[in-house]
Amino acid sequence: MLDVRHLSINFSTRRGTVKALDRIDLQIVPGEIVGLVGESGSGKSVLSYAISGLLDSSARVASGEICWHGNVIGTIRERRATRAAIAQIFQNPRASLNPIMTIRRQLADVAGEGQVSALLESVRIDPGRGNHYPFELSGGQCQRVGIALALGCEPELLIADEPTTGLDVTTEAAIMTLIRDLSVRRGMATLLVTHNLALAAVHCDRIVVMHAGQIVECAPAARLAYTPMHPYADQLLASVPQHSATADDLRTVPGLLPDLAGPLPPCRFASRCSRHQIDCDEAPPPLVALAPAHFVACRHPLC
Amino acid sequence: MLSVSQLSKSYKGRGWRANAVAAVENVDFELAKGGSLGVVGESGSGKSTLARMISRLVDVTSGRIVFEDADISAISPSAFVHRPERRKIQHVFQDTGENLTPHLTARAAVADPIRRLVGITDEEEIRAKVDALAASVALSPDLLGRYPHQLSGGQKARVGIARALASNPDLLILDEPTAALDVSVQAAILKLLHRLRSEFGLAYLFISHDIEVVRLMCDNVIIMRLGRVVEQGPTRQIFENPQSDYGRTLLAAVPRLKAKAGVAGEVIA
Amino acid sequence: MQLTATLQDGLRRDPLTAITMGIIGFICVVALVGPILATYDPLATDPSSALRPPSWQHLCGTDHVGRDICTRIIYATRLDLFIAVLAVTLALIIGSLIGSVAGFFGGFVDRIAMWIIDTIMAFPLFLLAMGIVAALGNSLENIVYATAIVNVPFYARTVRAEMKQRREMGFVEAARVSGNGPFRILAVHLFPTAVPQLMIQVTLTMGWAMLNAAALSFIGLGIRPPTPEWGIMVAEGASFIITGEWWVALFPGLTLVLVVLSLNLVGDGLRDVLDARERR
Repeated sequence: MLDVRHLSINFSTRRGTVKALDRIDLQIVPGEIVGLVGESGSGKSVLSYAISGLLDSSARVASGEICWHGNVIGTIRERRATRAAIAQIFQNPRASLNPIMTIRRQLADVAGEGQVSALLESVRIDPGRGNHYPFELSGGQCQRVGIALALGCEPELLIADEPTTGLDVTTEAAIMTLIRDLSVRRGMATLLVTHNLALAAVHCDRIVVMHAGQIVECAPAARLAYTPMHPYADQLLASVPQHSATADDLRTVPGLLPDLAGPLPPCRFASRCSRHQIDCDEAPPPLVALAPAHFVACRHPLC
Repeated sequence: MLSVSQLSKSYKGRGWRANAVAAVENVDFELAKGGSLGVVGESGSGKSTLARMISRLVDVTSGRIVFEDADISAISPSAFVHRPERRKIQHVFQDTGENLTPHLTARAAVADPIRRLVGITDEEEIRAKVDALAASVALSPDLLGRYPHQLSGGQKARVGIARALASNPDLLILDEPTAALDVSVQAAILKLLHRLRSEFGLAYLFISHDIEVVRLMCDNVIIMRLGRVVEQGPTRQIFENPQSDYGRTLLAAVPRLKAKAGVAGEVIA
Repeated sequence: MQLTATLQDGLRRDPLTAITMGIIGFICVVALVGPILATYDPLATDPSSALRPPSWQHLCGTDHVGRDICTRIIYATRLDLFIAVLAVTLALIIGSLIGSVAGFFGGFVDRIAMWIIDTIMAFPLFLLAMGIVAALGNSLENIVYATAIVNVPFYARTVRAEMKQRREMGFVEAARVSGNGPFRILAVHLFPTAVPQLMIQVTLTMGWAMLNAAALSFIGLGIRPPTPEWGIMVAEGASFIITGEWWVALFPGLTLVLVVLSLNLVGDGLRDVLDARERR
């Protein structure tokens, strides 16, 4: 359904050319929930915006393409005709709603007046609240309205960009369950972009881990949680508090993210990697399947 | 060292709305010298208000705060600035982008409490102290000349911690010090905080919405909801056997990395 | 400092602002060294060469008593610039004080301060300036005071808004915890954050201050002839337009327009650069 092939995107900025994405390969089939996990600077947001066609004019596709149902689509802002089937929900729920319009009006804009009540019910908001304004709703409720707005387009692919950051953990659980249920019921695929590994592990079928614009590992959620093979994925998991018994057990990822505007080695994790060897600098590591459905981009993976 | 009894804070209702809003209600706890107490709660639980009351940034409506045998709850925030206790209770703020004065360098930010609270005026001495503090928070010295907008989230967090340690405090109140940081940076800062606690003999009052972070950092925990304490006790006990409904709900809602069977682990073709 | 870096960068991208800054710079140079280079005596009358049109000898022509207009314009630059800068500086100091205290402390202090500011702003500002000069007497000093008083509200409001916006921010509380009393917080931590907005206000109101001084002189309050000043020169030349001697009023008027326009454009340009940075 969605096929990102060898996509590389650069941004031209004052500091130079920022090589934000490097040869990304990603496929999403209908009905699956894919988690796109990475820290800030990993390129996960750039990738999600590229798929939605929301990148601004300073972005340049250096190579590769995005295919939707076999047709190539552009990544820069363009007419939405080809993209009616891709919807997005954003990180700050309040910021994505128009503060001076009632939620009923906003939903009607997207889905038509008749659908409003049905949409509100599907996100478990009492339709009677349709005449409220965003400021009268809690953060969790605003996010649910955001989801309703996205669903109003009857999308085939929902891109959820950090949908629960900043929300309480109990609200987060409710929102994620809602997204999962809707995915299953409508046969909708979801791309969950998040920096919260645990969240992805619980709610996604498959997780893609990114570092500095490159995909480093791609595996079913349980396999990644128990047996990560890329050194970065492994250290990332070890730095999650849940994973450790005491603070001394916490592991950190050494070094800093490389400067994406400067010269970059073929494997962008090389300078931070304890398993780095000479052959890592020769060419970019290919994404190979080391186990069923488990892909790793590393010449010296764990195990 | 710190004993809090029946501490409450309510805000007067404004205008025609007569009801007062109780942000914090009747909180009791004790913190020993060198101990660590975590305060967990969701938004609106009152944990930040509690922290700011103990730091004496906010007035107390009722109740007592006894710090080293002195009742400090009656002292107003403006008066507290000049008290000797000010340098013993320090605060690390929630790491939004605005905890450091934008037009002061990192060095100036850390030097500020040295000048104001410790009273050192000799420039050389101040410089040496700032360098020593930067070393103890693993902040590279060449970063000290930078402005906040030139520093990364983790670096700003370290500057904030160095600033808090400058006056050699006994109690450090940490209000969500790692909430906005990436998980690997958070791990580094948490390890740093853990080390500093034993190195300097500090007591921590650690506020967080992330119960797992509190589990790692604190010996004891209180769980707050809507301004009240719902459960409190040793961390291990609360995690293994939460007594309150809310405590159980909170722990159950946290997404578990090693997922329960049947939830997400099955491979889809 | 970070501010100058942003400014340099912004100016590189916006040539209009750079050009207008250049014009302002040129005017300042003229004010400083012009009188030394001018060839005629601005006050020397020479009835035999009265009302001569522009020529190589007199670039802007002569006025009704034979004085070289170009020289007078150069000398007037110094005076007008002096009045505007002095008035704005005075207004800046007073306005900043009022605004900081009102914005930071709030409550009763804020109400009193805003009452004063609102009272000033309730009057059409030029009429108020006229009234002040008329009441205090016609002198250079009083023009400066009148212009300053009338500009105080702009700066006070700007600073007050900036203080109110930032006084709840983390770094202010951190400064309290570090042992700073309220006045030190205001002076060291908070007030400098208002400087960018103040700079914008200063450039925007400087042009107005200049117009104010020229207008007061135009109607006969303030500067008296024969002192060269743009407003007076326009007033003197106004009656000659009908009889065809257009240059007496035009050149001083044009200079005034050019300077005020440049100041306003610089202010706009500065605001674009600095606002973009804040929005970032």
